[in-house]
Amino acid sequence: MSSVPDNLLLPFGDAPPPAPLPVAPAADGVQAAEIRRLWLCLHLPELPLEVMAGGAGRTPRVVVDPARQRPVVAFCNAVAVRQGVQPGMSVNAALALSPGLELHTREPALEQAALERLASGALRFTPQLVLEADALLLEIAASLPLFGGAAALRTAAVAEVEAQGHRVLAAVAPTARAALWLARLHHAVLLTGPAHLPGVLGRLPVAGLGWPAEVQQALRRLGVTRLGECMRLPRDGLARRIGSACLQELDEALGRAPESRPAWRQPSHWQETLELPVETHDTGLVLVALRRLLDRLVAWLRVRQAAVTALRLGLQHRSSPATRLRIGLLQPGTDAAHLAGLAAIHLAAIRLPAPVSAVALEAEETVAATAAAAALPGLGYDRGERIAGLVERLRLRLGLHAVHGVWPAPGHRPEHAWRVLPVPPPGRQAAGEAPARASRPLWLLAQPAALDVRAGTPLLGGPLALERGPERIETGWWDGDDVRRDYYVARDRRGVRAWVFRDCRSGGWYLHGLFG
Amino acid sequence: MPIREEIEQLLRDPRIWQARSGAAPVRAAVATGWPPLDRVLGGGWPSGQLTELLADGCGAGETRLLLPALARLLRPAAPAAAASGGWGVLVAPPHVPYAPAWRSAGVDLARLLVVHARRDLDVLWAMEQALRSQTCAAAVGWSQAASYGALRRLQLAAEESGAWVVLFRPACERVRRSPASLRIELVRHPHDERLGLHVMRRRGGAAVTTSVDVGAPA
Repeated sequence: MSSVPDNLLLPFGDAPPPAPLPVAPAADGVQAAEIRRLWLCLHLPELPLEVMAGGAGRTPRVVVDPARQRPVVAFCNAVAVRQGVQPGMSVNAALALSPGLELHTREPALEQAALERLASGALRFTPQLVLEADALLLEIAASLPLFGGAAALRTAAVAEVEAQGHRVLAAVAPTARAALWLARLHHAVLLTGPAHLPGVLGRLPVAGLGWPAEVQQALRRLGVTRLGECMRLPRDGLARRIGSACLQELDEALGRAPESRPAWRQPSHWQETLELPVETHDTGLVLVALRRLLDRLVAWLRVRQAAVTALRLGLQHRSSPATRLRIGLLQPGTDAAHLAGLAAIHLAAIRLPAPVSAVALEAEETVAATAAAAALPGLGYDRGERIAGLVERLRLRLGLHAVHGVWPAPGHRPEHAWRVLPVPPPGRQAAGEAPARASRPLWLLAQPAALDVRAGTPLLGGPLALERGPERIETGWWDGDDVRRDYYVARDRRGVRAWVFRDCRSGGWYLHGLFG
Repeated sequence: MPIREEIEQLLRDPRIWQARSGAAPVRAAVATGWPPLDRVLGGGWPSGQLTELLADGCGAGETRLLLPALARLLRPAAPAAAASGGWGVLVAPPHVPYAPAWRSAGVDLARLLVVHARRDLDVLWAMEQALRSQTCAAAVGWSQAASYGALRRLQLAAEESGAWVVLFRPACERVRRSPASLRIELVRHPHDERLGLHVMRRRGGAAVTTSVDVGAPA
């Protein structure tokens, strides 16, 4: 292409295709030692439209910038462009061209939230990341060997952003300012060496750099339309005409002046809300939304190398206070599917008082994930998490005390010789107490059951034959639950073996266990 | 081709089982710990299958019958356990499993989960959950009146998990049809230490009656 069209301000629709500027040769062949810094700019040209409910949309819609005095179209989608609407047009003119036009006010907060979400995901490419109003800047020089070069890294990053439903333009350049300019002007170039920077930047139109209108006018009066012509002007004269701020930007872009941009830090607390497209009573739809939130939560957890132990779920209603649920986990969780399953069980247990309009999710408690938990697939490291998940599912339906383990306890009274474990400890434990010396039944009755007696013989569906005993157990005087019993192994007519005792004080017979 | 040859060829098909050839080896089996029973069952309790034990009441020796296999499966070192997490669940047991006695029998209590469920529906649901979680090598449940559909679900869950699944049911349920691939009715011999096993259905074998000397309590 011989020249870059000047109407590049028009960011949408049938705008000129990304211009294949002469790219510096040896794009990936540059040795890492030569590269000091390399910036990948991910520019989201349609972000203000994409954050609106329904995305960029299939009907003509525009975003109006309320900051301006006269309402002016700031962004318009491809459908609107096809009907003749252009950015910069007054709203009235746009409505005349396209009567069905949807007008939206710009939502900077939503845009910021969307950018931060993308930034969270992009942290896997580099820890050094800058947020611009319409773009992400990633410093990728140190990450190149990990991702197989700048081109591969750019492809991966673009795919990740596109998977979130955004249109993205990506450029790579040795300075952040140059990458940003190139991406904003639709030049999807990959420049890894600074040598070609002046040549590539020189072709950019001055009108597209976002410089103040009076600066642009001053340059136009000089007959300067491209940055290259600007660079050839004497420096002091240029400084007088365009001001030091713009000159500073130019120096930064060319790598002549250092750039200072505040690095973005991931927030230490995670909370997000997702508006549902329609209000619904259907927990299935709520779960779909929740699943999207959980996927984002898991991405956030992964970057922070954390696991969640408690979630707070808020189901917002239009006209009544939100339904709030707390989902606690027995073991730190990082698996979206498991978390979704738990949430589904919690949701199934409640009745929604009103249709749900939005779903809010908050990571209430997080802990550092142990590196081993995810690192060794196939070695059964997640078994602890899975058994905890099973216990959680069973408890939700059957009650908190319905699931437990059993463990021997030091005690001579049979009812004190075992205890309930809330959850069995994972893995093997020290053997603890020595095996019981005397014979003990496999099943213990929760409460000893009184037996009828005939002619001094206890009855259990017929007279019991006492096979072995007595074994005297007399203890517990210190805690008021003292017992004095003679235990026998007995056998009934059918051959069932029972563990019975005679209370030495009352003389009554009791069934206490079955040998199974 | 003469018809005899054709029949011979047909009989060589591995999918055809001949009744006179005795019990075919069960594909994956857990040794029961009672050699006579292993022989009858073609190697042991079938894993990945539902085993149905029909017995009235508790205390006839039916728990001792299961203990050797349970002790083997609940050890983390066992290969079967490693593949499935090596946990065991007791769902709706008739009484409290008495920890000292179970430990003496060699069961790793750190891997045993006791689940209480009142309704029969919950018993089968809990067993199915345990199997689908892929953590359990053994699941033993006590059911009163399970429907055919519920049993079928359990059998499918058993096939998917590959675990050893045992369901105790009252003896009167023997007249109902069941999808279990192994059905055994337990009969206590009143005068000695033998537990009679009437194997009503087994994979690759006709009905047979045998008995196991489960021994007196130590």
